[in-house]
Amino acid sequence: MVECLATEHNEIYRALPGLEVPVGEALLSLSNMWDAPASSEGSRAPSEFRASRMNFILHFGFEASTEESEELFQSVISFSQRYPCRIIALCPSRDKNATGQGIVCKIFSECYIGEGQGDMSCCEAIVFGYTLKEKQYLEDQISIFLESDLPTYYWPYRFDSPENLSDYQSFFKNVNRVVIDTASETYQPHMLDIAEPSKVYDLAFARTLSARQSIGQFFSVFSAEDIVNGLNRIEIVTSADHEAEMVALSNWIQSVLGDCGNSVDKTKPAESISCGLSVDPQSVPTLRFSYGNGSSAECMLDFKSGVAHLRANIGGDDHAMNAAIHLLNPDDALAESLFFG
Amino acid sequence: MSQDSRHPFLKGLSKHRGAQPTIITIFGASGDLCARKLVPAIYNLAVDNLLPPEFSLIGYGRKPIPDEEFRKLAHDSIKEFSRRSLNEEIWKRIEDNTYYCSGGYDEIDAFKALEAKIESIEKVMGCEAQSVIYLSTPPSVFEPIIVNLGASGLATRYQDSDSHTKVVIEKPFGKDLESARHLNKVIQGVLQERQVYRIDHYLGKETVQDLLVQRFANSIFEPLWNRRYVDNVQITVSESLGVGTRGGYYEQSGATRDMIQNHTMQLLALTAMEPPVSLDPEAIRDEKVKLLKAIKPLNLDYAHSDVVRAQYKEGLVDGAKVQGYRQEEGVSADSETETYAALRLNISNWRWEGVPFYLRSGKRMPRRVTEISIQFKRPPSTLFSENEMFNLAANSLVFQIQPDEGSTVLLNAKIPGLQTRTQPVKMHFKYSATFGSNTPEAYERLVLDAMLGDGTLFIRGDETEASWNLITPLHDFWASEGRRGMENYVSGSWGPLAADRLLWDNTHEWRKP
Repeated sequence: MVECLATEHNEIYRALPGLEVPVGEALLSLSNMWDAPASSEGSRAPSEFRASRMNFILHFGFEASTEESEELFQSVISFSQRYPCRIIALCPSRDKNATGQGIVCKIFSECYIGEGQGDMSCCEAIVFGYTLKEKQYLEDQISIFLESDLPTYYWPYRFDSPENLSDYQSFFKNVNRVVIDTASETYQPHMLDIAEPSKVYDLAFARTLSARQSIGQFFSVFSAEDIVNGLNRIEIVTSADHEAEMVALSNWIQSVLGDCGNSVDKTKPAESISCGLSVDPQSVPTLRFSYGNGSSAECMLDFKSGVAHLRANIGGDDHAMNAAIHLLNPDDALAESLFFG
Repeated sequence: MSQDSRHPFLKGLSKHRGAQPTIITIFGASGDLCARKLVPAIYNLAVDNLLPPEFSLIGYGRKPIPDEEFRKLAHDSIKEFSRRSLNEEIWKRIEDNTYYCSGGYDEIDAFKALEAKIESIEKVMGCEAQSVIYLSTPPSVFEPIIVNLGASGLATRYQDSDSHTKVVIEKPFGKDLESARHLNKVIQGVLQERQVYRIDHYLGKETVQDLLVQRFANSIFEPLWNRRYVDNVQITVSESLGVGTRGGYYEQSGATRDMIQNHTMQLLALTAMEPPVSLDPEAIRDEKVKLLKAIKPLNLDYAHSDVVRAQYKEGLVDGAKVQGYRQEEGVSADSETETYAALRLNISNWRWEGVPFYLRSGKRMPRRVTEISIQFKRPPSTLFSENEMFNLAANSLVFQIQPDEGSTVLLNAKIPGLQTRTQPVKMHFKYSATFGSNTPEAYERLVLDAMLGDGTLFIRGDETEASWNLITPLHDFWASEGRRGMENYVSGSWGPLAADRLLWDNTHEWRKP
């Protein structure tokens, strides 16, 4: 075993912004950073805009590249300007065999000025570097940096398998919600070993909000019975860049169709409608409902042009609609995942 | 509609994402409110993807305006007044479905033409569309519009389904109890109560809605929220502006009609009502009505009067000299209209008996502020009696509704040092710092709620009557007294001395917001 500093083989830690301070002094240094005086007479000191509404733990896995991590960190900072949070970024050293020599940290804060002084908001982050040797201590070590009593959210990013994440069960247990992005991960949310699966929310699913809304509003004009009556299969075609979203959508559609079946006959267990998914680089993401009774339905979700073309002939009722759709931007998708979804 | 009763395809989506196909008709479409608030609200709902995919907007007014011109006016108003900048692509989707109909408010043929227009739009939509009628007109034409909505059949479209016509009515709702009752009667002759949405835009403000959360989602407040611990409650709605060019309108209105009978009374009801049995609209409105009905009639006897009225005179606001009310354009030189009113209310119920509620509203005050202040009783002075050693303040909880939305708790704390000295300190919760700014405008929430058929943030007919029932005797008394009892206050001040005296009876003082 090689003794190794938490900063060694830890490109992500080194790449993320911040001022390196001893871990024991991080909170004090952060406070001092905020205690800077107002920049001019009449203006207010940054500390007046210091606010935390929650804790956000961003945990990078070994599969995360430096560039991705920097980008993700910035997107969480941007989210924090709208929803102020204490950000904790955890960056493991890539040397899996190294024994550790403790944890290192950096502090970072940024103020977003906005259009007027009332719009100013400030956010803060503490970036930790650690070796795997210390992972068992990690939760206790960072616990003192979390704003107590406020909700905590956990985003593990690009761990090579859900099994590797099981080392961090304590996070799963003690946080309010776990977000993952299946567009970046090799596993689906249900594969996580977590006592409360409902805590896990997929950002890819969150991004489809406007598509779900349009599909929901479109199909709600038909009766639940007509929608499931004679329905054999749903074919989903997608381009590779929207695969995660379309998988999330197909899971949702299957669940909704189960509810439709249930609402028709509560005594019968909902039958599962089979769903096939194929990837075609040229194709506009599309859902096709195949019926055995002459009904038909198709939803073309053209995220690039921002229009959904929806048409259906169900139970003899013909209906078509074009609706505006878009994939939620990262801030909105996170807000949807953490608060509203 | 509960989540359980919704179509499976709408489950899992918030109710706000399930508005049904809608055609909104705005009466008074060439007016200021439409340009400043309603059209920008509709645009911002579109930005948030909260409009239903099948959506159309119809402007209705006396002035003949071609569709194209109305679209341009709407476009320009979004550019000027929207909280978010105009995205042409999003506007295009609204613009393509925006129309204008002209006609008088008492012309049945014009209403029939409007109905034909709505049906033709619905035909193109290819589905059942609800009609939301927004009355953004002067109150004098509410009655003919409502009558003609009935006569033309617009009021009774899809009467038995969720797509029934919804009618949103702007304030003021009546000018006294009699006119409010009359208007309610006209409405009842044409519409069912569930179709009617009487607006008080204060109820659409985030901080007003937060009042319910702060009161009923925090167990620390409820045990204190009664006569045992609350000393008095003060509600202030002040403006630094004068009447400006609206002198003619204001002469018919005054502070009590303009602010107190509606906004301030709603704030009072939400502050003092009993916990509703659920968040169901009717449950909340039932409690508000009960509270309004429990307010004792005002004592108008000059010796012990519960009210003060006043007019602003010349003074300084924001350092600039401003003229008095009776010198304003459109205002009579011997005007009897109050620009300031202060009321002392007593609520006759188990919770509030003996706790005075002070309400005040005025123009040309030092700053624009709306706040509710709960002043708690002082602790027994056995340990820290109030003298030069202990600067003790009564605890207070202040809800700032606007601006600087948030709340503040005033506590006493020890000044660091070897001797025990105390000083009041404030604990702030500031909305913009905690949740960020750019929250939706009140009208966005209210227009959306009307489309969704959710009346929680609207006022029921009996609420308006209960509130007028309290205020109308006051107006009748003032009308009989002429200028007697009318005080003056210097522009830029917090009101006349008589308003301070109103509180002295109970050794209280107005809070300086």
